[in-house]
Amino acid sequence: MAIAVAAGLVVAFVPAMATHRDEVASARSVRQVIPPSEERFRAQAFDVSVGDRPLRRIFIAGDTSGPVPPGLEALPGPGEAFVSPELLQVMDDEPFVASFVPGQVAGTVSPAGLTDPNELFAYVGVADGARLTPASGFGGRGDVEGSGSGLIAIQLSLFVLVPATGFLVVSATLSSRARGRRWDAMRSVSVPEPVVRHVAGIETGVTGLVGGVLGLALFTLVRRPLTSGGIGGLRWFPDDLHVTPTIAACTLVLIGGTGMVLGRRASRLRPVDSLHQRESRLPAGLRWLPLVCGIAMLTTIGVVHRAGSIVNSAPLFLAGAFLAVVGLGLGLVPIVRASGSMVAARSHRLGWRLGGSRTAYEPRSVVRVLAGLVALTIIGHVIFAVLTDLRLVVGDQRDRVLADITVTDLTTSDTASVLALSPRAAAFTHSTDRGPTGATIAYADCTALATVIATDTPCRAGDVYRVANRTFPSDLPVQRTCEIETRDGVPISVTTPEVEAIDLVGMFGTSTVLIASPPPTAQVPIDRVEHLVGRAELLELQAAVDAIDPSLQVDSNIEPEQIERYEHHLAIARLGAILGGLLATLTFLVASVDRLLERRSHTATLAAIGVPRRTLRTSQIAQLILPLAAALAAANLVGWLIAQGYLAYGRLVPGSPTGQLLQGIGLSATSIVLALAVGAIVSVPKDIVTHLRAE
Amino acid sequence: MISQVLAASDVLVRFGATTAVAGVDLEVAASESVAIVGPSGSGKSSLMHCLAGLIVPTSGTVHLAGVDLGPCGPEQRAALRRSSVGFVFQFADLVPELSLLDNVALACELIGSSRREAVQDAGSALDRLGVGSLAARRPGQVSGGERQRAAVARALVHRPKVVFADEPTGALDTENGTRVMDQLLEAASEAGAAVVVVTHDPAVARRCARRLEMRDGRIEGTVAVASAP
Repeated sequence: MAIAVAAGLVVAFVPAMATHRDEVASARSVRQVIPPSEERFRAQAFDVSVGDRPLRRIFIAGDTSGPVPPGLEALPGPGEAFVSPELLQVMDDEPFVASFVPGQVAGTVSPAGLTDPNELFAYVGVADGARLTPASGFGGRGDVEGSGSGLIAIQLSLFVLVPATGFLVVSATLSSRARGRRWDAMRSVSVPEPVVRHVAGIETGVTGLVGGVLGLALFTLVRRPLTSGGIGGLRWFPDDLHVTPTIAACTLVLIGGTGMVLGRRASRLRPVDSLHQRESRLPAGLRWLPLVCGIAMLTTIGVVHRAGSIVNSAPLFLAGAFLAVVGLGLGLVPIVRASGSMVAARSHRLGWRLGGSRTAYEPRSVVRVLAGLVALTIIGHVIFAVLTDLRLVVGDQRDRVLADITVTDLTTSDTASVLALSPRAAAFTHSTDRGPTGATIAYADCTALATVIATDTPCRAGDVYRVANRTFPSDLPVQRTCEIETRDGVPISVTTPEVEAIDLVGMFGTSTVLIASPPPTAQVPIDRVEHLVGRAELLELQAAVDAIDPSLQVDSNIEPEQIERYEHHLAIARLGAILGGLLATLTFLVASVDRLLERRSHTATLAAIGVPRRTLRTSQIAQLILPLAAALAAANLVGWLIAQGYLAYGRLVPGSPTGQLLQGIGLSATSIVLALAVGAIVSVPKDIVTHLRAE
Repeated sequence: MISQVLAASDVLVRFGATTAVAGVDLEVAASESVAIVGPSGSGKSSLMHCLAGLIVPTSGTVHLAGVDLGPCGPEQRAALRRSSVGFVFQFADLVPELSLLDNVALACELIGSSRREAVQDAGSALDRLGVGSLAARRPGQVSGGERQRAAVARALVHRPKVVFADEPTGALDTENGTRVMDQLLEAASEAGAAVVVVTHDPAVARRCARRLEMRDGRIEGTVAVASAP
């Protein structure tokens, strides 16, 4: 109970903390205004990355007596900067970082204005606000991307709450079964039924309260190391995880009340439980059908995807995933029973035959024991597939970062300087094309293209291509005429040819006419410049762009904030997987030990008639391992297929979450080893006679 | 000379400060049936467990099938029980997940019979006890009397030297109890096995050739019963 309460508090706090971070980020974002009359000052946020960490600078110019963002007492004047304590530390350690924060550091931003203690953040006062945006204050939401608190909540809820619920249900069941005899004894001496139920409710409620208090204490204990260490780079202030008296009281009331209700329900008189002999009402064939159909549909998605086609069918994927999960729920009992029957029929070892027979005889109770681990396995595959997708969105190919710089306002010479910053650069301009899809004209010389292009034809200077790839054709028809106007107002016509440049969609898009030529910056107005650089070169490029014009924004397909967010999600998913795995494994172990202890009289009988201890031990271990292996194999298969289907359907990226499959198998193997240990420890009672007498 | 399959000499069993068996001497001959009777707490079950090698006496010696149990470890005693002892418990205590046939065959397999031989012998044993038609059923699918007859078959199928029966009719009605006792004693006699029955039931005790009355851990009297088969 205590563990479940502590896990529940973590689940409750972490998304709330993420939401709080979003609120801080929103409260300090610049509120832009369009009518100049409402302008109070000028401000704009500029992001750069320091290694893998984002550094956000808010440049402010004009009247500094205006409203202040959280964490500041006054806006910085020209030449002043207020920085986060972490940034101050980094600036001391890495002098080049100071170049991103012009001016003198006049103070630090207090925690109220920071999302976490690790954040690199600065307010920079500048004299010239020409390139900044008119603003009326702070608290706009425009440039704030959420931290994905919803996804965090879903992750943690699925990972932790599902196994925690299973753990509580199993614990409550075992506890009520043990206490059932006492309630029956009370009834046998004519204690009225309402009194029995009241006593049961109070007992469970008090147990819940004790568990709640211990859980709060446990949470308080783990709060400090969690706060100081953080989770995968996600850190927070101590106050973010503070359990207020109200939260503590609500937790205790909730747990105590739930305990009372559950206790009263559990103490109700009920007919003799013959669950293990109850057969499903569904015919055997129908029990397998959803699972088979679901697996077939998901496999089809995977096979079609591997063949190189797109499976852009959400209904097919969703139906396949739904059928597979429901089918696994329906099919788990037959799967466990079949595994037991098979071993019982085929094994020549008596211990395995006994274990197999037991598994085949009572699969339902075993499945209840395993439900948490099975659910966790599937949830794990799905969550990690979602994270794989996120990783692909933020850019998995970190050596191919597209750095995009808008140069509309730059002089010709500055534009040429920006173009010269890397050998793999392309320049973009817009045509006056009036077709259904506006065409973009891009220039890149053959040297630049040679590093990224995979055309079937050799690149020759002056060649014109339509950009496409094997999946997406060009949006531009052949023989379409696009026009660009030169700086002198002279039109240049470009006719779209038949030849396509393959594999450049990521860089240029499918509405682009690509001209293999050095960008004619002197003749043609260039809108933006794109560099294809390595991840490590990005920071260097940013510094070089800053040197040309500090107001230039370098946008890349790998945004540090997105990467950071992805890493937070990954860390939280791992934390959730660990917490959930612990809870599910604990549930499995507690219930398994209980099952083995419950059967001790049978084991004692077998020991009495001379069954060797080794055989009894093998039998006990087989009873744990067989259902575990069968159920987790099925869960891993279903989870992996769902994950693969999720990544395959409608996507171009290769996504085979084999790593997740291996992790799932690793979890299964760990559980099996634990089962082995439990089976070996709780195998044969030393005192046979006591158990015979108990019978 | 009568061969003794079971011999106990000055057996003392203590559980902490409690003396359960206080210096018992006992000999049981092959094919003999002995009933141990007495009130609850008199030590009869403890004596039986001691004679069967399930517990080690605090002092004294027990010879089972000619083997002194004193120097034997748990595995050796288990091996001796497999080969030379059969058990019938009050609630049959068959393995619930195995069929009656497999429950009985288990006793044969434990002494090294092949699966085929074990199944064959088990089938014959069940037939002899009149439950052969129920061989494929599990213990939970047959009546208490049928279950107890299958337990008798399991106790005798591997031709043990001694069968220990602990309240074998305690969970049965009179008619079924009589029938089970008849079959137990008859089958044991055919197999040449001695039977040691612990019971509260005077009617059951009267079916045995000898009745030992226990009180406070001691055998206070021995009665030879005329009506024994």
